Amino acid sequence: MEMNGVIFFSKEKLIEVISNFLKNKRGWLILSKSDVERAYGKNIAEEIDLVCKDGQNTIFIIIPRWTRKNYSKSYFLTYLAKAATYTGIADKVYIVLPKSLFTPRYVDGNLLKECGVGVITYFSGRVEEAFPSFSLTYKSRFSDFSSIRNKIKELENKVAIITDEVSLMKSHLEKLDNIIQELEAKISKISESAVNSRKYSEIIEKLEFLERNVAYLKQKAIEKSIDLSDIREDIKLKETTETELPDYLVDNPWLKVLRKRR
Amino acid sequence: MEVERYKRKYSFGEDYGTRFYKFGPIREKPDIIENAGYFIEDSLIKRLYGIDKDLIVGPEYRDYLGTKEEVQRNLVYPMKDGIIAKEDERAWRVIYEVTKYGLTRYKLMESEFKGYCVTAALSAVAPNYMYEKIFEIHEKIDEETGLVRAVSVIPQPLAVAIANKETKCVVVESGHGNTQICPISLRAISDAIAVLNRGGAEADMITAEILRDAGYADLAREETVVRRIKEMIGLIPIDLDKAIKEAKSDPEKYKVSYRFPGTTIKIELEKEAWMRFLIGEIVFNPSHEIFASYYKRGFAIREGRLGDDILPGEIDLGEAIVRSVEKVSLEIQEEVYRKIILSGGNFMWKVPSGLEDVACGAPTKVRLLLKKFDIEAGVKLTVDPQYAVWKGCIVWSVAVPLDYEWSWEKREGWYKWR
Repeated sequence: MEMNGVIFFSKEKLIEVISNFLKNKRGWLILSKSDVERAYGKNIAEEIDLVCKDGQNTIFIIIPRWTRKNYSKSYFLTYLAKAATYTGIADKVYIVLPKSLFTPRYVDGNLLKECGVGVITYFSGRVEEAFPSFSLTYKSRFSDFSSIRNKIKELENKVAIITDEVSLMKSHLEKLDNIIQELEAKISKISESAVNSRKYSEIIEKLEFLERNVAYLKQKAIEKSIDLSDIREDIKLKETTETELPDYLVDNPWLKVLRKRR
Repeated sequence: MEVERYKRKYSFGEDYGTRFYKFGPIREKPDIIENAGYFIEDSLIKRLYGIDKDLIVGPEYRDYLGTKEEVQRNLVYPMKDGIIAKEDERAWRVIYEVTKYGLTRYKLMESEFKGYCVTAALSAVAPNYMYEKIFEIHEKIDEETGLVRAVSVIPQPLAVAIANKETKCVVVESGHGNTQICPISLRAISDAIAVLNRGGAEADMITAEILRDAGYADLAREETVVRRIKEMIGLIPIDLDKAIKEAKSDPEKYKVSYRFPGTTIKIELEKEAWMRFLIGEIVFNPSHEIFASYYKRGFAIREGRLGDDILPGEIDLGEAIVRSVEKVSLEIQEEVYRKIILSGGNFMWKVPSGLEDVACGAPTKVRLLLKKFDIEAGVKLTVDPQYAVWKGCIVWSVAVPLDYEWSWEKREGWYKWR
């Protein structure tokens, strides 16, 4: 059906026309729904009408259902906003419009550029790329984000590693702290014992001094004791005869008296 | 070797005096050490000196003396007026160590030596348990050293009589703490032994009082100073009243000054010089009325004993001798009065030149005191006062037969355990 130069196809017909254009004129590969679902998830498979591959690039094609009721700029902007959200996922994103709608009245070229979304138009069975997708820029931005994310991930990993290392170091530090405390205690004891050993040294010096004195005094005592009574161990007592008796034994009447004791 | 020859070679004498222990085998004179022991209470000192015993005897004990307080606590002179209490373990340990010290100094290596025949002299008033302890100690030493073959114990006055070669006499022994009067007739007549609880200590006390009265109260507190002054200034009066009168009328003649060598301590008595006679008089006649004022100051003399009788503390020495001799058989009384032997440091008084008319020696004083009782006594100082007891011990060892077993009844003989 055509109204104001606009031919309204059924959605299936329109997908077929666009698919043929993309395959035949652009040489893009149209991915099946199952492939899309496997590669990008179920939501993408339901939301995006066609997903194509151009070499390494992924291109999302969004085909709004145009009717007389929704034939307005706001309807287009709704789809543009939706398309813009996918520029972070796909390398390019296109919205398919009837050629008659691709006018400044409905489409703001700057806004498309800002959003990086391209436009494919159709008219009387003819399909063409009316506005290129600039999503490569966004893609690069996305790549940047991705790399940033990767970097962040790397950083996170590194941070995690560092955190682990810090945790390990912390545990080591705690151990070291304990060791230091033990060492401090030992040093304190050693310094105490050093002080004590100084005191011991002083005491020992005093003892040695006293021992020398004692040895000297003992020697003196020995010398004195030798004076007191001649020779000891090797002493030999003389057997006293009557003529050699000490004076107190000579002519002592007690000798006679005591010898009679029985 | 024949027994008598053996004893002549291996006799050993021991005199346990209050101050000194005299010991040794048969010879001219004994060895002397202080009859004292010093207990070492500090284990550090023992380690320091490298000794393992806690009691030191002999001359070396002086090397270990500590503070005055320690000396007071640990220096033990076991004999107190010739007596050691039975339970006084420290004193008996000292006696054991002193005895062992003496015997081991004469340790012999001769093959014929089988131990000494030891005679020990104790105070005339020593009770039986002291004899038992002396035996016990010698037996123990013999077990440890093999140095004692037999022991006998005799009273010191008997030993003095033996050394003086007097078989019938009265020995008056006066030491620091007491005075013993012991009549002897071939043996000590134990029932007649009188003991007066006075001696050199009383003379020291009166000397201290004199020093106080003369203004030397500080010196009066020093025991050694007092003793030295007593020896230097003390005089025995022939008659105290006359001596005092004489000294007071002519103080210049009797004045005395004495300076301790090497010190600044000096005393001078001039107006108080008459008091010098009090020092000698109190030993012989403390009953003189002049001492009444001193007794009022708390100065008292304990009662003495004669057998089971009590003698007044202040009895004069003449009367005490008379009371003692009266216990002896009448037949020998006259004979023993003729031979009174004075022994001990308390009778060693000098008469300064020029004072012979008022001062005298101890024998004269005793003779004068006895004269009051119409007794013409023969009084002399012992021969060799320092060693007489020890010499008597040697004679006893040599003469008493070795087979004469100890008798507790007679308190004679040899105590043996081998």
